[in-house]
Amino acid sequence: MPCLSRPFLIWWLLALWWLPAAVAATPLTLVDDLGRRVELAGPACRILSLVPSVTETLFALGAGGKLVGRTDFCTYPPAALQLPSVGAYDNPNLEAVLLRRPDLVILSADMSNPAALARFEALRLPVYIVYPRSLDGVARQFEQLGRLCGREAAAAGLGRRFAAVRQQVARQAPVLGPRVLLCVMVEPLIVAGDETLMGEMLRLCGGRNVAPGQRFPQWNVETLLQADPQLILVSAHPGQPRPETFFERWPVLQAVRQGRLVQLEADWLQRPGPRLIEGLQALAAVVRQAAPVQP
Amino acid sequence: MRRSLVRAWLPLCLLCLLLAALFSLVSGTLDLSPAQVLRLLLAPEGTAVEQVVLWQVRLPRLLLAGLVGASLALSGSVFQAVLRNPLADPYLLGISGGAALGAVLALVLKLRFFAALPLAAFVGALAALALVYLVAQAQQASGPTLILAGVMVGSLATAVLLFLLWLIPADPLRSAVFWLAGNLAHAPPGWLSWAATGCALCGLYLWRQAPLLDLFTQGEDVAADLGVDVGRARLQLFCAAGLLVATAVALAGLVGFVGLVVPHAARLLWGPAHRRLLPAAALLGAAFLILADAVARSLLAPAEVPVGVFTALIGAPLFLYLLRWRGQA
Amino acid sequence: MIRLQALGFSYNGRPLLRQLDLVIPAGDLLTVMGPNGSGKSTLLRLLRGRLQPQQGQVLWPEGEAHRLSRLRMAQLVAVVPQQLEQPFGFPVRELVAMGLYARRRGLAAPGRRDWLLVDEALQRCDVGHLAGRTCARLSGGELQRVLLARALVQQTPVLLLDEATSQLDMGHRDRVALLLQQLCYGEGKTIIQVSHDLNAAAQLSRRVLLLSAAGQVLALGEPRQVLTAENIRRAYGVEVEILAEADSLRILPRPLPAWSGQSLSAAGTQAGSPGVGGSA
Repeated sequence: MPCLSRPFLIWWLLALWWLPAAVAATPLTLVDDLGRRVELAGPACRILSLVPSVTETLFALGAGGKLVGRTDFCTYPPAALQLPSVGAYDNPNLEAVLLRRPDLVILSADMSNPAALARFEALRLPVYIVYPRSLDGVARQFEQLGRLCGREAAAAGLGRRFAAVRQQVARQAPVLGPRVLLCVMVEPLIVAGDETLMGEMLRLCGGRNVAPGQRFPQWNVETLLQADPQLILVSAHPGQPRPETFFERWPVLQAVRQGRLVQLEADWLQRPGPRLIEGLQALAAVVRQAAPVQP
Repeated sequence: MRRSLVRAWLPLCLLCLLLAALFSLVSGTLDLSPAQVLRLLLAPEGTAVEQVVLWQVRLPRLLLAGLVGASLALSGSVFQAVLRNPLADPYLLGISGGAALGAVLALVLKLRFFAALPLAAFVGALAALALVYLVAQAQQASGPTLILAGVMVGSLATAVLLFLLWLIPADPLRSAVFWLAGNLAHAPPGWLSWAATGCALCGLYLWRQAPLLDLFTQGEDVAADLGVDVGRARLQLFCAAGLLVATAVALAGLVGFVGLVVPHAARLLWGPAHRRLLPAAALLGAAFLILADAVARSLLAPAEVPVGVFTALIGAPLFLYLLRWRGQA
Repeated sequence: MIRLQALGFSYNGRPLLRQLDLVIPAGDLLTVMGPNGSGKSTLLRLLRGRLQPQQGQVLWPEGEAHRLSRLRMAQLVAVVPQQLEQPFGFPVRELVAMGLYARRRGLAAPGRRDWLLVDEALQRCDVGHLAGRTCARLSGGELQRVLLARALVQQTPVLLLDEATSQLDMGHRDRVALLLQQLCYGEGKTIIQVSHDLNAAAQLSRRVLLLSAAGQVLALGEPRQVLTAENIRRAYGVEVEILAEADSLRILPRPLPAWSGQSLSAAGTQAGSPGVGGSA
């Protein structure tokens, strides 16, 4: 055939050979949650995640093999424990970081140390900063992480599941939800306000937060007694005293009298990762159960 | 005029205590006027929440603050006399370091049984005091030696403590720091009566030893020449005062300044004779801490500021004022 | 009666007292003298059992001094120290009342009779007018008299004074000397004092114990016999002149040699002494 002359074939073969490499070498430019431009030569292959929720998400996207390091707090999924740790998230060991030779470092705006950011930039390591402040922010995070590790399809799937659960929960939310106290710490008593991720999740499920406004105020007993919530949700980390011992000292609270003191896994509600799906479902179930009966 | 002021010390102290108590019962997140408080106290009316807040939140807290304040002031007076230093603090002898270390160890070892933290603090405080005493005994346990040993033991405890704080993860750390800063919200409720009995016994014993304390202020040599068995008396006084401080720390964490300022102020106002000083300091200490706690609770409600912050903020200017006024008289 | 038998004591390896034999009968007024470092204060401490002798014993009628309880000893002997810091501002009256501890077992509040004792002691030591003052506001001399009053309140048969008149002016020194005379010769107390005042010792004491710089006994006996020019030279290394009369003994230190130009009338005109010599 005339089009299959030898030079033409050679040209096509070369093009076919270059094409995947060309595709793979497409430079990636993203804007992170703080508005910083992050430029990578391509999807990252050696990712150092210094944010526990990001570690979880990357594993959920099937990109666990691309992770080269984690922090001490990245404990889920169990496979993550196989990765070497570089220390705590606010004070990573710089030598350990360098040893891992990452081509991308992921930090969190409110958990990581700003000094660490300066260090990494001085070492010319690309840094991506996450800061999901809302459920939409979490959805965006899934998508961005998918692009960062080259697993856009898996990320889209996760995003769809997340959106579906959100819609389902919103549909099933009671019209008049219970008044809820979201407790993240028992001693001292620290509650989650409306402007937190947890607060938004509660609102979605139809609950009414008794702690308005601020992020994580500390409450004294009198405020608790005055608020008198219908449902007390405790999502505290291990190391805290048992919530029953604290709350059952005040039987005047209706939540204690009616036995509406529920403990939920802290990481389901506080880590902006894939387990928010379980968290939303559990939260919605509890809220529906505690909703006051419609007259 | 000053003579009658001195003679009227008891009614004055009681008045201070009463006013502080009233202020404390009225302060808090829930709005209760003095009239409401009186009505709630005398007759069981008012809504359930008001009742619970007054009887189960504010009143126990008032009693606890009074107990801790009195214990700290009493022990401060004793240490100042025995160490011959009007500026000695009950925490000077490593007691605060030991208590803090005990509490944080309980957190690190994840001891979860009932009241693990206060018990550990109590044991830690007494252990530190015993260590200081043993170390100083080799040098005849004179005042300066005791202070030096105490500062060293305290520093050691603090160093170990800081290391442990670095080791434990974030949330227990926050609990620990909260406790360490001095807080009257978390005493196990059933402990108040036991603690009160123990502290009352120690207090009465110390009051009986008041003339002995007077003699100690003259120095241990002179006290021995005046007939005191110095070694035995010092040990007994230390044990009683140590028990008071350890109880106070176990109940409320580290509340500073009370044991230093209150005895000194009482001395400036009413003289150094311990027969009068000890009860005056106890009453003043109780009133002072009740007041500081009421302010700590209400100022930034619903958050609770550690009461130790306020004991310093109120105590220091008050002390300076007393020093200046008394200096002129 | 206190008996010291073959008493020996070393301090940090340096022997202070060696083979000291002494009997102090009741009603004695003994002045212990000697240069600095000769062990005078140490002797007083050994006497009241605050130190344990390395050789020999200090025997009181009740037993060895260092074996008696502090309380018992405080009922037998009262001490007037040299000076005393007062970081706490006790009023004088209460400071003196501390002496009542040994008598009363101290734990009850002083009664009317006790306060009468205190006031009487204050009067005798000429500090009655200072009863209400804080001891932090006293001069050195006033404080010493207050401490003497406290020792009197203890009502002990024996009094130990450790350079208790060093801060007093001449007038008060005389008055205290008269008081000590009254206490010893009038009331029969035993008084042992350490003093540098040669003349007071000469006038006042029944006996004088003179120690050498090495802690050895130079002489023991009546003032006349002990306070000789020879002994004083051997003890202190100074020359004195003794004026001995029938009923008094006075010791005059030899005057210091004058420095050239010391006299005011020649000041500024003598060569070879610029700025030297100062005031006469």
